[in-house]
Amino acid sequence: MSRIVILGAGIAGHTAAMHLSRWLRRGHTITVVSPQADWNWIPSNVWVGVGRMRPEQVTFPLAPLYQRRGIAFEQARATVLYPEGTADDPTPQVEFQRTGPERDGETGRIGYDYLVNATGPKLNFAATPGLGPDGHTVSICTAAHATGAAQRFAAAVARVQAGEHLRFVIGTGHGTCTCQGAAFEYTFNVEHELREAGLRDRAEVVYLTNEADLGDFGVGGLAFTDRGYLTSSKLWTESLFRERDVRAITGAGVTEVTPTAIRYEQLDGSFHELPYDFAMLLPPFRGVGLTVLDRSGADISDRVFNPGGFMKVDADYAAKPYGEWRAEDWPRTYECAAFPNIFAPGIAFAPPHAISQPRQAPDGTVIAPAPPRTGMPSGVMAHAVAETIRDRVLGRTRPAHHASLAEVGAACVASAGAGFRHGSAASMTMYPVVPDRHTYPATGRHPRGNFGEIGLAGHWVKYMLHFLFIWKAKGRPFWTLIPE
Amino acid sequence: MPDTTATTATTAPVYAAPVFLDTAPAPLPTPQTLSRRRNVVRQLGRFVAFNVKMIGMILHGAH
Repeated sequence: MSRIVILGAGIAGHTAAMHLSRWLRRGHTITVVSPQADWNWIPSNVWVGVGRMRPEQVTFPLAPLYQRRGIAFEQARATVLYPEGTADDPTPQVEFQRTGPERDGETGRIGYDYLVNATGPKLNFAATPGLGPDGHTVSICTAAHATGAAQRFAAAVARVQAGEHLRFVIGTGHGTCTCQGAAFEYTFNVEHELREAGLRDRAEVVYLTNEADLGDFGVGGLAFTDRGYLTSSKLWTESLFRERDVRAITGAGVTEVTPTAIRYEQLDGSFHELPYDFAMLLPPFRGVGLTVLDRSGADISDRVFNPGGFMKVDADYAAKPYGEWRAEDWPRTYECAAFPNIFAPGIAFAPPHAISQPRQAPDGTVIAPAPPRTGMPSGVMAHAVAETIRDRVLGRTRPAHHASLAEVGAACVASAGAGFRHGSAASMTMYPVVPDRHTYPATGRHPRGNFGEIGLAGHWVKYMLHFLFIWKAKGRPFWTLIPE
Repeated sequence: MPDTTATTATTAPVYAAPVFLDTAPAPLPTPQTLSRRRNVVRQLGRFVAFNVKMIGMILHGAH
């Protein structure tokens, strides 16, 4: 009998739990430890944030589903790992603190044979003074945040309706943010809602980003063929900004948000102040801050996590200049470097380096996107990790399954406005996510793997994916046929 | 006794007005292109094409 503990119930953790529960039916225990009671289809938070969807349309409670599937569920936040056990008990274990309403604050421990660290990110609003829902800006990172954003957006729209001219600023709230695609989506959904309401002439929409160029999206941009030409996502994205009259500020690292202005530094070393009336700025991510203790109680966290709190796995972490980055640097199995019975798929693993070109201002401030590892790639990684654990539990002597970001592709459907007839989205595919210039010397990616198109069909695809992935997450009939 | 009052002077940044990206050189879609992007019949075809593209990528990346 094996005990598998999964920390986190986001896309990675939930994917691993669902697959393991169908492969390991008898005699094994699967426990999910997550501080949240609900699962959230985060890509649709963008529609919650403009009031197009209600939060209950993008979330569902985990406990009933896990009970039905024989998965134990602890609504709790993991705090300490004991991968070697303790002085009294050699069983590897996790300490947690409950977050549910009835037993909030209680602590407990659970032993494991295999541990999946899918804790995702800590939303590090504290990195920028004034950033976030406790500061002066809104967020769409969680369903609750998106609900708050929708309320503030509605209030701003009411002011425009009353005749005021307002500035809506959307983007990244720090020089090292990732998930620019989410900010891009929210920008164009806000623009769409204002246009649909007939208020566009009194509303200025600004996209403020740490990307050096529009269309970078944290993956160094992409090139694809369009009407016989190899074109760039930069030109394609700039065209959309021009068409929709959205103003852009690139290469910006936000340093402070006051009640009336956003202060930022740009890559040329200049400092600027942008007055705003409504702002949605994404936070940078950190690891969730787990402590790791050895059997004697000594803190060995730095053996397991990098300084950002992300788990060190089977990647090549040797520091090297941008020109020497290789696809092989990226992890394949997500097995923890220090403890092979621990895995870290999704945002929890420490990337070896960025994907976009590293850049910094003359004073040394880093202003460059961190690598995205959410959504579809996150599910693919978790699937591979679940397969590896299944094989080991069942005694199959097979090599670990792999899903390097340099081997898998991603589809990104960036909503640019909702509505069955008037919606729009920028649909993109890239293969692989991490450019491999050895295999694909021209652009780093497969010549037919990259694709980009704007149109109503993209909105339909995103809407379809909303229902498909919630269907899959709920484990409804034929859910296994839906890919990650 | 040494005077320490003048040893920690730092220069506060001077904040300038924002400078926006000039997107004027980017291509502007024609009315025909915008119409194609909203044409339901054409977009049904693009919907199928994008799904085929995604499935191909998933199969290609499957291990």
